Amino acid sequence: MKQLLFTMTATLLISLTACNNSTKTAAQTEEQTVEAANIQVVPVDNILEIATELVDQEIEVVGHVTHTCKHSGKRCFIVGDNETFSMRIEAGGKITGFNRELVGNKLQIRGVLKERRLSEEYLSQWAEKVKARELEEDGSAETCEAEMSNINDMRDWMAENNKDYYSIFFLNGIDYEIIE
Amino acid sequence: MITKNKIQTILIVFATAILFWILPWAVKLGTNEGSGYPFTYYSCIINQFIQTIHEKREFKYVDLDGNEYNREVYDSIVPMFNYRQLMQDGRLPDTINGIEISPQILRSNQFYFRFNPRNYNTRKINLYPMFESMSGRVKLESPDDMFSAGNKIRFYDAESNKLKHKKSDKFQTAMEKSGFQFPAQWISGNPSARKPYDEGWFMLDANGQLYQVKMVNGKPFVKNTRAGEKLNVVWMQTIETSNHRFYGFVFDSEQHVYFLSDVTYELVKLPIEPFDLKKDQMLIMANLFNWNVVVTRDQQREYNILDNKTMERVDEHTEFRKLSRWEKIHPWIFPFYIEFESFKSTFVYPRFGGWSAKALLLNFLIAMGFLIYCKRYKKLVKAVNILFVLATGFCGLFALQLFKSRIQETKNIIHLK
Amino acid sequence: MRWLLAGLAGVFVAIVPYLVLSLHSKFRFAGKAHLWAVIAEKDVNMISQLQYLPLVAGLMLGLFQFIPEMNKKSFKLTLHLPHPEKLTVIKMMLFGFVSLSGIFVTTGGLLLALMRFSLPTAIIGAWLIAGLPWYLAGLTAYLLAAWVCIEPSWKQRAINGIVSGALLAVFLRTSGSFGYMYFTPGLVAVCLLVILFPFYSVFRFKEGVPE
Repeated sequence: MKQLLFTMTATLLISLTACNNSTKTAAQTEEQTVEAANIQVVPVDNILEIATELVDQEIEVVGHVTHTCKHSGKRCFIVGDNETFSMRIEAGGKITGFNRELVGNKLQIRGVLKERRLSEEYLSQWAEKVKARELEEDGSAETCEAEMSNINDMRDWMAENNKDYYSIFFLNGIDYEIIE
Repeated sequence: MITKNKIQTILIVFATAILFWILPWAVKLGTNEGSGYPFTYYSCIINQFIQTIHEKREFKYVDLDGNEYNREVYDSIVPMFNYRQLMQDGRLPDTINGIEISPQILRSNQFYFRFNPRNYNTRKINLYPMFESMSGRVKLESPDDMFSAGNKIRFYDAESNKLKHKKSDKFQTAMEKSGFQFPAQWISGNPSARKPYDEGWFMLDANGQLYQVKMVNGKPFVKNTRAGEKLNVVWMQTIETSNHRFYGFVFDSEQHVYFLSDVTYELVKLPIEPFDLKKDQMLIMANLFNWNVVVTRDQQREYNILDNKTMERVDEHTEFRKLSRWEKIHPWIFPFYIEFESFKSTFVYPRFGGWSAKALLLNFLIAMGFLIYCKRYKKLVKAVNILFVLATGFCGLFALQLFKSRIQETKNIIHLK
Repeated sequence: MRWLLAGLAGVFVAIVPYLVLSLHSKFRFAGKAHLWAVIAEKDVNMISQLQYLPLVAGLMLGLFQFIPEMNKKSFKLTLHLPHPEKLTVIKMMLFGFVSLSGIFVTTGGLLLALMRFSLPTAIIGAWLIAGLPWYLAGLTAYLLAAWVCIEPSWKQRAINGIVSGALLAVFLRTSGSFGYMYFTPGLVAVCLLVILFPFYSVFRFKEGVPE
């Protein structure tokens, strides 16, 4: 009788622990799933619409690689299917670098979205440098014109959106998968 | 049935074959000499081939018109090859042909590529290191595992000698996903960690498609270069150049040579004569202005000068080799010879070469001499023996003497029970 | 003969732990990963010390078996026995051939099996292909030694010896892993053909060729 009671108690305890463990394992998996589920997957074309809300958050972006930094591979640029927007991805986390052959491949990159704000003062200084360069060099008028055009576009955007800064969003990469 | 005559015949054939191997080898050893081609480099200053000739213990620097230059002038007119000497002497110009130069610029555009038929006519152990291509370190680190690729790609941990299932499956999946058809026909790349960077391995799949396979950030990177769609790829030899211009040279079944461009995998054909990678050697000495593509064939050496940017042939020259003493002598002595080794291959097997009808003249004289001798000394001679000597010359005659039967041995034919 | 066979078997068995321990010693000094890379990249053969051993074993067995037969005139007696001569000679050669084969297969198999613990199949396979010509050289050397010994004439023995030396040199041109890949069947054919050579000497022996 005593033996039977002992055996039943032991069995109960073991099954309780197993349940706990399986609960723990299930909880861990669930946590990871929730974690994974919490990471938003955003196509590059849509990122600007919600970028301000996602700054400093971990997200996943999907896009085609258009350029990688030739020497160090420390950054790459991706575009969406519409190719309207290009996004800079910095190598970090598990990413030591982006190999040059990735150009053309479609990647799903996980990282932390960052914002860099260019102030009006910064844009003014930049414009002055461009003008100075235009005076020094001849034959590169096209490049200077393109740069000035970019600066003016940024100023227009600031005026339209009633902001005193221009935002550039980029991703500090943590890891990526090659989709195709 | 085993008869003495049958075994004797086999012995004579073996002995003849051995003599056709050893005697030519001995004659070659005593008469062989170097190829005799002078070192030739193209001058980007005077657009001429400059040859370095070793004569009477001195070096002479001569162009094809016969003009001779002293050492200092040679250094200056061939600056691409001698820039280190010019630097040391303080004579390196700031510009050459209107282009600003510096030691860094010269180094980054310079490379040497050598191809010997032995690189192709060989087989390596199917075990290769997969380096991390983007380690972030200046020096490459040797991995603790190695892979083999046959019907599947498999990684083996060196410490435990066990299969790394996860890594193997990752690479297998990535390769299959990219369309790679196993088994791999061959794998080409640089297995050494002492290289400036790693571009992984180039593998030809079962369908003749050329893939680049490497490990980036611990993950497999597999891409079809599409070279196999444009040509019938036979072989590829990789090279690491400072300027990352291309991955290596691709050889196709039409005997054309291409380089496989970096990133785009564009194939750029070298405008040279058909190149047989089983027989011909290639040396490319490239610099900022042009590539000296030197192709050495059996009897000649071709120098092709290609513009570094456009890859157009801007100049060419062919040197014909004088026959060596061995090549002059052996056709008269040996109707053929046997070699087991070749500098064009790592495989050992009997190779029959040097076929020559001229030796039949000597063979005829030897056969007639043999016949006269036998008649004079009343020795039995069979017609087949005379024909054998006619075909094989003194090697056959010698073999016949080594295993000759004497009539006096017995009058009865011996059989073994 | 028994003691010689035992001695040869002993040498071959002893070399197995020597090679295995030697390999492990190199592992400790250089590291396994590095050694694997060197073996694969430079085609280094860590069992190349075995190269000439089968040849020496075959020669010794052949000489030790047939020299006493000729010295004591036992062979002459053997051929006069009421027993098929071919079968007698075959049995004599088969004894040595099978004994040698047994030693080679057993110790070779043991060596490769032990190396399997530390080396991948790719390397083991390459060394097996490299080693086959050495073992074939050993078996061929035995048969050629029999051929030389049974030959009654000293002059012909010298000729046979020179031809044998040249023939055996064909088996040992390289110790590279895949050097003989295409010619191993040819070497097997040579080894099988060489079985006939001693019969030539037997014929001459029976004919009463003087020494």
